[in-house]
Amino acid sequence: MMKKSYLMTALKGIVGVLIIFLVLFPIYWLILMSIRPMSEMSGRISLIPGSITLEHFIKLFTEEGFDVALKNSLINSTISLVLSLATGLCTAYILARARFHFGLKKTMTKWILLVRVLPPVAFVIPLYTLFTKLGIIGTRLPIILACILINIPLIIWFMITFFQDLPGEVEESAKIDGATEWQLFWKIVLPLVLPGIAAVAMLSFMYAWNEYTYSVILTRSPENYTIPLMLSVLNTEDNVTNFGLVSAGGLTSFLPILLFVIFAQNYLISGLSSGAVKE
Amino acid sequence: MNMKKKRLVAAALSAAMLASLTACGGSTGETSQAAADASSGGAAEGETTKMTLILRGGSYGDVLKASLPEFEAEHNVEIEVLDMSFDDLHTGIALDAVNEVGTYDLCMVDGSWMAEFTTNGVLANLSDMGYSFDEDIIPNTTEICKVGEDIYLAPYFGNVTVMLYNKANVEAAGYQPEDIQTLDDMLAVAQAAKASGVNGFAYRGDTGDNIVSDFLPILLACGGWVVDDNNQPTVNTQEFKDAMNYYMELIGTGAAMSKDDVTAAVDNGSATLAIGWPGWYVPSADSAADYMVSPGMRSEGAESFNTSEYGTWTIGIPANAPHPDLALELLQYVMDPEVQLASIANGGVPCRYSCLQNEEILAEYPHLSIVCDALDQGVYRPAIEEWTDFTNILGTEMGNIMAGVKTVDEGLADAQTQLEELMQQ
Amino acid sequence: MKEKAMIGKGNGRFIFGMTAPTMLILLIMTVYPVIFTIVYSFTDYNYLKGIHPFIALENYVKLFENVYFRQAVFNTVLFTVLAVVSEVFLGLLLALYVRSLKKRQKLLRVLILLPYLLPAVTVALIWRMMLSPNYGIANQLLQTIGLPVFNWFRDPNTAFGTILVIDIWQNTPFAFLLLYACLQGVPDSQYEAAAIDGAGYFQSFWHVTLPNITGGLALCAMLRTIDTFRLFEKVNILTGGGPANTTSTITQYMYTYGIKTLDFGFASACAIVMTVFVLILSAVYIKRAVQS
Repeated sequence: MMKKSYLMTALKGIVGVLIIFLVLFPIYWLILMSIRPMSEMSGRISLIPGSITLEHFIKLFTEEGFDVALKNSLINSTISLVLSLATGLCTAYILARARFHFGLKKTMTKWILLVRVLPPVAFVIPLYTLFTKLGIIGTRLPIILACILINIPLIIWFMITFFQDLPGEVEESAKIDGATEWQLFWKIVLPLVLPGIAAVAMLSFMYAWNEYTYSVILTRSPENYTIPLMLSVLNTEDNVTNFGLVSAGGLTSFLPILLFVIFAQNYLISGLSSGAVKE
Repeated sequence: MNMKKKRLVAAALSAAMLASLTACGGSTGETSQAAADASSGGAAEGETTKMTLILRGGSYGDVLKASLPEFEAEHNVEIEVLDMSFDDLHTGIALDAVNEVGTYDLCMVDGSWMAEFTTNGVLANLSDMGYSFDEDIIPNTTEICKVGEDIYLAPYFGNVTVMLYNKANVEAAGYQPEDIQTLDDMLAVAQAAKASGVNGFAYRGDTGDNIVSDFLPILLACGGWVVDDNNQPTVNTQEFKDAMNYYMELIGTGAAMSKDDVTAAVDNGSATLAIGWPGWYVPSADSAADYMVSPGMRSEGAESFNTSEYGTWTIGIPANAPHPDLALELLQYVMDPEVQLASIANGGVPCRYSCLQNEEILAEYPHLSIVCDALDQGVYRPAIEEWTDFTNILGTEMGNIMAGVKTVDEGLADAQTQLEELMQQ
Repeated sequence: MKEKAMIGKGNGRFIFGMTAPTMLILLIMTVYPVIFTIVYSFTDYNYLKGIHPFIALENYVKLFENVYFRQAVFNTVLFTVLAVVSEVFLGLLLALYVRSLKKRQKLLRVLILLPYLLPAVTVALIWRMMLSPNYGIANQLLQTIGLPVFNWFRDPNTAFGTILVIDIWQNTPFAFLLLYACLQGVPDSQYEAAAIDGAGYFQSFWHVTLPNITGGLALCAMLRTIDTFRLFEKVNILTGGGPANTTSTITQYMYTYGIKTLDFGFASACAIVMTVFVLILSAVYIKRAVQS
């Protein structure tokens, strides 16, 4: 018995190492390419770089204007996250509670889920003409709105289940104590679904952060460039690609989300397990 | 979850909201400022005008960007540049074209979009605005820039296909670079390389556009072309089939790669020949690879054709440019011989004899003399409105042939049928 | 009963206030595009020409007669099925594995999640570098063990599979995350009961774990299907749909023949067809979600 469990542990260890290798090796390669001097990027490339340089990162920020893109991506993703959370949470609450009923409720729910399913490529041209007519095409507003369009359905779909899981008694007793609907929602219901909010916030932020299809059509000024746009310009020019530079860019774009996940991982897991995946 | 953590999250959320609100305020401030700048149109003396250019990202756009600061200082303007990848540049210019007042003052245009853009009134007539070409500009490069006598574009960055070769591999095959005069020689070198264990001919095999581009110099040398004088497709002719059969033999000696790999392979000797663009590689006296004008003859004694295919980046002014007068000044400024001469140091390739035949320049950049020859005898891709669709169809069918899914006869017949349908619409 | 009626009454204003912003945004941003797309799909709309003559169903006929489009549909469906099945299966294995660990669960679950967090552009770039025939680590490995260099993205036999592997590498972590969260929700008491009944590992997996996570599995498959069906960026960057159309997908087709050429009428028809496909795929899920 002792021997068997010892064997199991060893086996599990090996499997673990294998998984980590498969998952992380490509990312290790990305890191490596971003700190390797150009001279070490042709011919046979060693597993461990001969020397380490930060030249690609420096060039990225001093010459390519990556700092502007980083700032734009942060602003766009944060604003769109906050706005879609604010509107999405309210709507999800109404849709989840049977005591709020109105004629078009079912249609509305279906429609919101439908939006989540539609392919963005189908929307991008009509949205461009719409934004041009509204006269906001030169600003960062179109991209923020596009991210909101992506995220509201996600948030609503996700949060409906959370609200449904809350026992109705809490609200009823608070109601009897004289709380208004708004106080009820803001002070009692929302704090109870915080883990869900954290999880969906992370996913929404990520979608907005990595958004490319809408941004490339809707951006009309270099001061509004976002990180995915910069990466694609660096990646597809007709000249020989500077792999150091694109790798450094790719890595930089990855860090903010990574930090977010490391800090929010407990919320993420508990959020997912207590809500969306329950049927 | 305990209360402490909850508070933390709530605090984080409200902080984020605050941050975004302030950021939002800041950004709207900026944009309204920009709008005010634009509407003033540089009318008021002493006020800075803001111009926006839309250019091809990478070295083509970078060269132009490098000459801007002086112009900005002289004319008291502030210039913003939008860098785009090839496809996005096309879509970007087109999408903005239908607006009454556009966003861009100057745009970079690929020759193959010319017909589509001029028929639909995207570009301003430069002749009407008072622009004309001088003698110094290589005449062939301006061919695509005009409709009749009216000028719509100016050739800014001379880009033309050349043949990349690995010096050592060519020598090992028993050839001197200047001996490669015909397609037969080319094939012989490639086959010898293959026999010695390295790739003969490397090529791009991904999108339709790239497949067609790499093939056109071969087609030209065989005396064929994709359309006839009336712009009707001719991809099922004897010449085309001959070229395609030859090409199948040629690619049989090598492999399809991405452009980065093509360049790297020719440089490190794992491939011997490739059709490419000067922008991919800057040769020097002791570099492993170099380039030359691709062969113009099918075989020894056959008729010789111009086989260099232009990919010249031209610049034009959108018909709805917000500051047309300033834009014209800018265009004249960047096309100026002095400015163009200076741009070489930043990687520019002007379409001017005075630059490309300048002794001092050639001493430093000897490869430019080959570029100059190639530019002198270049051929533009057909000026037809449907070119994007055209390459999609032809490239796909050629891809089918190259992958062995269809025979040469089947593939080309299918391409011809579809292209005829396309051109009839 | 009376209490509930009281609560229900007079909250019209509250409902309106809570839903109006969302409705406003979604109305403007979806109704206009949907109508636009439907209307233009019946016209020969070229953006630059600015004209849109009515041509009834011609775009649709053209689309279904086109062999490239049919191939793209076939590729997309095959890719979606293979990718989703592998991702859910591997995700489940990973989740079970991590759950069974006594130590380092937290570390491992963050590490496993990493590929999912990368933007598609970067994922494409990494694999392009690793699989390059000239400086790719994969081919160096092949050479070291005496095999010839292989051109993964350019060989019609491997291009599809290579992109599939990349997609699985990137998205399995998402399946893992969802299913891991799901497993957390399985009550320990059920496992204890099964253990008392003398169930082995596989039996308790079959009778306890699986029934508890069927909902999660279905949801996971659903979400992955929706996302995989519109696969575009990776294909566009890595192969452009080639070689010989073996990797073209519906979105790639629509981009090449509709958006790039500015034939928005044709692109609209393509978008409508694609939407119908996705709708059919997700109808079951939407129906269930609305009922609950």
